[in-house]
Amino acid sequence: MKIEMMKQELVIAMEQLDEERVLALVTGLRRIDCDKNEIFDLLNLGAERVGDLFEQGEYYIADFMVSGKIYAKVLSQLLPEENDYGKQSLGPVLMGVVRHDIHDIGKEMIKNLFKAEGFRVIDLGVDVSATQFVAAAQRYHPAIIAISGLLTASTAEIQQTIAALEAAGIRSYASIVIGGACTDASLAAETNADFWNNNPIETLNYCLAKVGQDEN
Amino acid sequence: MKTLILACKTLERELQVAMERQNCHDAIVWFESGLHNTPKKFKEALQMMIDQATDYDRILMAMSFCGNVVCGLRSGNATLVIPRAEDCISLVLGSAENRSSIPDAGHTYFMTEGWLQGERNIWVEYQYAIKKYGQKTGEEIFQMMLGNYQALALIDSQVGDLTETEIEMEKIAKHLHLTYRKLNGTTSFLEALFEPILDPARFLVVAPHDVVALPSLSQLY
Repeated sequence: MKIEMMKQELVIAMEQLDEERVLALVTGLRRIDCDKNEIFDLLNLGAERVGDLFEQGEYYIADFMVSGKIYAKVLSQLLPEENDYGKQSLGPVLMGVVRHDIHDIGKEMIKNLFKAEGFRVIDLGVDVSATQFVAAAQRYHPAIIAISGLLTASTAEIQQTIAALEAAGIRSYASIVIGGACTDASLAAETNADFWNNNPIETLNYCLAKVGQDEN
Repeated sequence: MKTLILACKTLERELQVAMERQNCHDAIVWFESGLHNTPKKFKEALQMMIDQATDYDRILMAMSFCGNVVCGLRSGNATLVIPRAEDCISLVLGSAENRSSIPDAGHTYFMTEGWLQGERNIWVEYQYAIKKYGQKTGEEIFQMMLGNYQALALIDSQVGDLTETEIEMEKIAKHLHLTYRKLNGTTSFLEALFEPILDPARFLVVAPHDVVALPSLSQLY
């Protein structure tokens, strides 16, 4: 019962953006061996409520950013063992924000998650052209290429980038995932992206499954 | 031909001037600027209005593709006309070419007087963040949000005196650690929406009972 209460409180603390409380509850839950994926699910539930409050006009963009900061702190301070112990490198993941787009908040968030899971992240940064994606893919042979964008024009850039990657034969060894404000299921279908999601944990889980080393 | 205009409040002044210049008196339905922050709600609101406009022959969208919010809209009984502009910035600058000719456009945060009046503009967001989280954390949040930006540009759409707005924008730029710039804009793109013959290179025309498809870059002006 106590555990269930802690879980409920974690969701509420995240919704209320109470960083101190979130970190304390995560520490407590880890101490009693609560599965980290379950902790992320609870954090996501709280983050979804942040999104709902934003839609209702209660919260502002700054509150979104703070929920991201809390998320990152949970990763960096309370789950460091995922980086340091026991895990082999899961190999390179290539990621970047498409050409003419400099919005990288989502990319930074997912980068931390990938690193925490043991992926070697090759971050091409922002404003990355299709040619740069192709050159990096040919150099590093990643299993996953994560492409993101926010601007309206970035949908077309994502289309062009995926087309260039396909033309260069990269599909034979890499899965392509897309995310960001300009992406949705229809863009994924149109571009033949292997996966689309704006939930970082869903994307991470897909990539873990894809590389066949999902240990959870 | 009975025509309805669906318009974004952000472009209110520019649209009024464009309509005056084109002697257009069609009915307008305004959508709040804040809907940009919630694309799903924005799309639902647009679709609801299109669905209700059963006795109109043509709906002119005085807005852009707005983060692809118009993609997937069903045209209903009317023909939909949408400017092939990726966002309002290209609309008030006159074209995507004008925009790309601005040095360092990709690192510039654009605003108009209309944006400054929006209920959830960047300055409102900044003040909220500082008030709620304090100066240090508020600044950190904005560094994360705007860290890749270098300039704040006020677009002068030539629809009125901007003296006070300029003073305000310079102050905002200073707080956001961005370089202030002023750029010349125009209402010519919006005016073209009311021309009797539409330029297919600038406007997407969607037939009745069709769906707005996802555009490619080459299809956006």
